[in-house]
Amino acid sequence: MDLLSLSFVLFLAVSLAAYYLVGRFSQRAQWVVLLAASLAFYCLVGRWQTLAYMLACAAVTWAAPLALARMDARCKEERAAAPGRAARRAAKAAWAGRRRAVLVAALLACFGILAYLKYWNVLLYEVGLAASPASLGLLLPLGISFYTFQSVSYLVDAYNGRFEPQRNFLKHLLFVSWFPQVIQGPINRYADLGPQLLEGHSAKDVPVRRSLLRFGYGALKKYAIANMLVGTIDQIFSNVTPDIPGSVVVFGILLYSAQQYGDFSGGIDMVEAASSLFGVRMAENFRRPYFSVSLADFWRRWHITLGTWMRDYVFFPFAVSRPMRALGARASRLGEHLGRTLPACVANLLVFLIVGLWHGAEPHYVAWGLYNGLVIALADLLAPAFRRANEALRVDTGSRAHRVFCVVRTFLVVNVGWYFDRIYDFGDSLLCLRNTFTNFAPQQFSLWLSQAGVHGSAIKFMGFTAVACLIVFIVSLAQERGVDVDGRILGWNCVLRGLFYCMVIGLIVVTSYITQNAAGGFMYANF
Amino acid sequence: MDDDLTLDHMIELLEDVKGNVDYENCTTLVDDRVLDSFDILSIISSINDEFDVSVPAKDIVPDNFNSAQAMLDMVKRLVDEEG
Amino acid sequence: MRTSKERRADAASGGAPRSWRRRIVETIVVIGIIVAFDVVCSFALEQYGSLSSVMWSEYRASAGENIDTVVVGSSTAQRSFDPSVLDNALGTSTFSMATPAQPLDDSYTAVEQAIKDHHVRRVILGVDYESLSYENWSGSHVAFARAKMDGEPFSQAVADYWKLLVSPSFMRRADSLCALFPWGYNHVKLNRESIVANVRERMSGDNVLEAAKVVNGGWTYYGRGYGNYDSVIDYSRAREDTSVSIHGLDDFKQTLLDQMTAIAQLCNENGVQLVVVVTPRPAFNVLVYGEKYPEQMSRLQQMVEAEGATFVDANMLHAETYSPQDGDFADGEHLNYAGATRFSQAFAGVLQALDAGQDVESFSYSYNDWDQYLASIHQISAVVSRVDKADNGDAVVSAQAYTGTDVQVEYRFLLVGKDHSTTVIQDWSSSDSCDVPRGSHGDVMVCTRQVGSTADYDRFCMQGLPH
Repeated sequence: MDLLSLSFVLFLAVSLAAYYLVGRFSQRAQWVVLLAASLAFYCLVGRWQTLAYMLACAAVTWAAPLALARMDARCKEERAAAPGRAARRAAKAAWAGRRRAVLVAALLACFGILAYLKYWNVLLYEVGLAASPASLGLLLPLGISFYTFQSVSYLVDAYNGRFEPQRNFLKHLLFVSWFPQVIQGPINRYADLGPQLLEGHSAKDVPVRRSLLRFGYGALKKYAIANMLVGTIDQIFSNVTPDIPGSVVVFGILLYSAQQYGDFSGGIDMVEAASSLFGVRMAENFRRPYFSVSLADFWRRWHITLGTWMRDYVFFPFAVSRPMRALGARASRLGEHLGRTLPACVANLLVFLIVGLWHGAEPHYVAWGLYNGLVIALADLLAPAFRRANEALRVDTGSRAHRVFCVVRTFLVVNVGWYFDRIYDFGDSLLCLRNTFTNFAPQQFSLWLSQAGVHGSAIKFMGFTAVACLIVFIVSLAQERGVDVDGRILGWNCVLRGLFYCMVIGLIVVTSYITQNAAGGFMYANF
Repeated sequence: MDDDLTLDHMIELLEDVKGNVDYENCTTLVDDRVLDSFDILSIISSINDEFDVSVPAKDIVPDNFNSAQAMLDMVKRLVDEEG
Repeated sequence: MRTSKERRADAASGGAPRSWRRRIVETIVVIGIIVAFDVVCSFALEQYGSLSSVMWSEYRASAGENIDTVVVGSSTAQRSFDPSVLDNALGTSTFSMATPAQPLDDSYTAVEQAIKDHHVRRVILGVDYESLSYENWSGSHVAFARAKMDGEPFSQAVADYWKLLVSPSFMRRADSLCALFPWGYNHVKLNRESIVANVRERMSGDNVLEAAKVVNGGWTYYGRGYGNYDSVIDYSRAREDTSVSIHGLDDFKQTLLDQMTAIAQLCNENGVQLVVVVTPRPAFNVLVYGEKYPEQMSRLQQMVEAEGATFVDANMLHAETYSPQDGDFADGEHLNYAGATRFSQAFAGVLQALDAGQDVESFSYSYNDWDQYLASIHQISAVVSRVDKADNGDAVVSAQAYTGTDVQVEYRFLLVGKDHSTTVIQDWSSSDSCDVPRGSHGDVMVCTRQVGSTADYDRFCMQGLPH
């Protein structure tokens, strides 16, 4: 089911009506509607056969924190009954060990299912034991990476005593299965999302117009930008030959950077909007990433919830672990800066190795993750050198020109990363990177594209995409300057607004049609 | 040892890690992304050196690092717990 | 009293409390503008004189006439069967309800309507490979539904369009919402001249049939829903003309086979004879599918025959029953008027045999004996080429001739300069590839002929070179 479809609109309409109708009688029971809607959505969109995996994940992450809480209580009792300080300490240590064992077992269960379904087949294939990456016929459940990570964050937070664990399994299941997040995230935190799902909402508090505006903005990004480009990108990178001109590669990668952002952030806009219609605000996942001034900054603006998840559950715990602290102490003998940053850099590499694996077990994803990790680590290790260089060259790091320079530089660095993300064969990624510099060959650009099957009309129709990109750019620039763009638009007089909506709708309608038909050259077929 | 645990000392430590920040008044150091995660690790490492106390992963939450005062409170609590 | 600055701030925040009455008025205005925009765009951009609208308006105009046979299917069906030829031979009364890119579920709708209105005896469903392998015909769906709605009462029209929006191929996709703006689906070229011409045509008072003649240059209407072109295929452009180069090569979709079954069952229930015909194409456009063609088509044949319907693949017919001439085709998929006349005559013979209770299967090569079909082709149907870069950087042109297995082919490669001067770069030989001398500009002309021929070529194609 597409998010922009009659079936989703009807689904939303029925769910919203039920939600607010129930709310009239009992706000305390409203969450039941959300759970019913979420499970129904999961069966409608995914395969109902894979629902069991989600239920299993929810059950584990529901039961473990309750067990931990009970262990805490027992520990307290034992300590209260202990005869002396040493006995109290011993009791605490014993229970801490047991608590950790429960945590590890629960983590293994959650990640075990994920790893088996997502990676086992690919791994077998890579070592030559499976005929194809999908030969086992395992059904990858919809949203498994997202709900697993979200549930695990709940588990670890509960382990750390951040909140009282949820006793009601169905309420916990709602947190795990909340339908807007299940397609492509964001990865929410229980402390933020849980209470919102469970407390009642009334229709009059919902920012309907803002939600609709955001839904439309997301649809524009997804249909007028991402879907318009995906075919051409595929044609370019599905037959990489040794003589592929660098100009074609660069074109394809630039299209990919727009497509990737349009698809992911557009989809997120749409689900955030859907969620907010129920009065539930999910975590933000994008903050205009292409305006980042460094790669580290980029990762704080792109897929934000994955970044913060990694920061809180991998980066910090690993970086402050005993071996890393020892490494820092040893490195500080070589220099204070090195001592402070080396543990962070190593932790960072680990994070991006996992981010690469999150996308898939194929070698090119791992390479992509490590590339990001290495660039960020080096930037940090060499920060004093850069600072000295800037001072020596009298660069005014506060100037607007310098900021623009940083934004452009980061954009280029990110795009080099996309080579490894998008080109599905690691060798081809390197080949394309080499040809970008050694065989740019702009004169072969159009011939190569036409041989790859890219119709001239596809290029012409990118004019619509360019208009959509321009709109997104203007909106993003204004948001960067702190302008509440939605508020501005809603403040326009209604005639101007109507005309503006017509333009956006027109763009979506035309591009949505083109993406399904232009590939066959039937844009202007007279039916 | 406790004599060292003053706000001034904490601010001095923070300025060593990252200058040009109004540590005396800012209470949204993490929320407003003044400090990034690398900075926070540097701060933790400095706290370890200066106050001889290690900050466990579970205490690395925005609330504990949003202001100099919050960091100071956290350090005091950790010192108490260790003692 | 608020200052103007405050008011501006309120307006800017957008979330300022407004009276509900004002909100409703504003919402109505916004929706009104969007509806007006939709109406205006439909008027200006939606093709006036589409072939779907010709079919439905002509069909309605024949309401009082006797119709006992209908032709349904996509443009290949529309341009293969001439009702008057069939009727002269068979004494039937045929109407063509085929429309461009008509998907099978729309064919179902057409058949249903014809049974309801005329109790037809026979349905001829023309299909090709893509009818069963390619699903994305949302534009044609919309044009078909809009044309059908045109002459209907409002409630029926709304019901028809709603049925389209909630149909399986629309419901779960963006089309189900976007088709509320139908001008996005069957619009004229988005440039000034085309839009102005469309508006002018719509306002001129021409009916859709007159308009269709203007819109579709070279198209002639022959009555009974049938129209066709006289253009003749250029075999040297076969590379762009193969269906595979246009649609790609997929297996038949189960959903489409199911729709075919539904049509067969509809005919069964109403005692209507169904004849499923794979329409004629130049041989190259059958050969291009390779083994996929017999493999997939035999699936269709089994399914059709299992439902008690008759299956005829015009491309598999023995030469004594039907043998198209080079000039019968308008392109890789369609017959032209003369071709359709010839084919309709031959096909009327098949129907006569069928009516006489003969086994028409014996008229065709079987998919199980694909080799026999391949051996039956005695001509070079077309030649296509591609250019690659060898390891040393030289351009290599390679050619592929589409022909029968028993035909021996030889190739010659000529360089055609910008000034139209020609130089032979590789003379007649059995080698199908040729290194292009370094520094060559222009195009390479690839010629093929049967060994033993003295013609300049049987077929040729042009291959552009990298600059």
